[in-house]
Amino acid sequence: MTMHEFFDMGGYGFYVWSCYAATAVVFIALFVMVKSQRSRLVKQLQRQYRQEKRATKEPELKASHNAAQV
Amino acid sequence: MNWQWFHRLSSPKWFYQISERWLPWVMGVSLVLMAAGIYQGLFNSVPDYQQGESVRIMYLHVPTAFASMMFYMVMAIAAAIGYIWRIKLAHMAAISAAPVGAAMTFLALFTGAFWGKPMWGTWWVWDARLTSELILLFLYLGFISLHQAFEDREVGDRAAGVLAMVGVVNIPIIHFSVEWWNTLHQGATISKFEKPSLDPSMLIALLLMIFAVILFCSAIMMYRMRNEVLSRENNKSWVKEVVLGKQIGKMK
Repeated sequence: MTMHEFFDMGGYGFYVWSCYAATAVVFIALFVMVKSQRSRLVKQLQRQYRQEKRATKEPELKASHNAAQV
Repeated sequence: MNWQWFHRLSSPKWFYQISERWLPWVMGVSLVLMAAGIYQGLFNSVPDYQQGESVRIMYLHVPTAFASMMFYMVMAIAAAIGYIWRIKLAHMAAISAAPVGAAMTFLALFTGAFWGKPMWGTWWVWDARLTSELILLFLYLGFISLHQAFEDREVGDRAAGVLAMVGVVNIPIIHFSVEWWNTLHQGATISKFEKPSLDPSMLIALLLMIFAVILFCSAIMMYRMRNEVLSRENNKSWVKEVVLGKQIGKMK
């Protein structure tokens, strides 16, 4: 079997290779999408937790600031 | 009776931890089987006596079509469990199966069209098998958009869950469509055990690809479920540890 014969697929090359290409694209996209979803989610949660931490610290800071002003 | 195992099984934290151990294996075995299946399908199997080399599309078409129906059942059963017993993890499984199933349905239709054009002379016909598979795609997309339509995620879980359960009706219609109606689509290939219609070299390629695709879809579904767990359980201290632990380069 020569290279040409292999890619030609008995005249059905266009149809066979379109299917293999489409499947490869969809499978890779499924993997990339779920991975990018995760990194977006982790970043968003990290931001959220930092904000929560700041929100619990803030009243103390304000209180000491007011005390200094008086 | 001790129900503790059931409780543990439905615990998002338990799933998150066990899936971390399983995922490399599921994905790894899937990729090995897929490599072997593609090799067998493209290089090591005989062409069909009627369809020639175009039969190599079968090694993608049949596994994706099978997965499209299988993951619909997974989604519907998970939705039913979530609906009846109010188990959060089951709803997370349902919403994680949907995009995977939709992708497989799209591929089954795509490879079907690209197989139909050279064999039947048309990309598409409105016959029972093709139409019911197209309805399956709409059911998946309907499930996803209905779930997103609600502000409250738990209301969305239940509403979309009902749609998933009702849509199960379509699965036997797809499966038996080639017997119930006169259709252009050919009949079952493997499930005729009494008279196998496939050359062994083709059967090996097909089975390898079926298992590879199922495992790959399962892995993607598990990745999605892990994201869903982190997102929904974000106020739990263990999720905070996982997310913030990662920040300082520590894998938990």
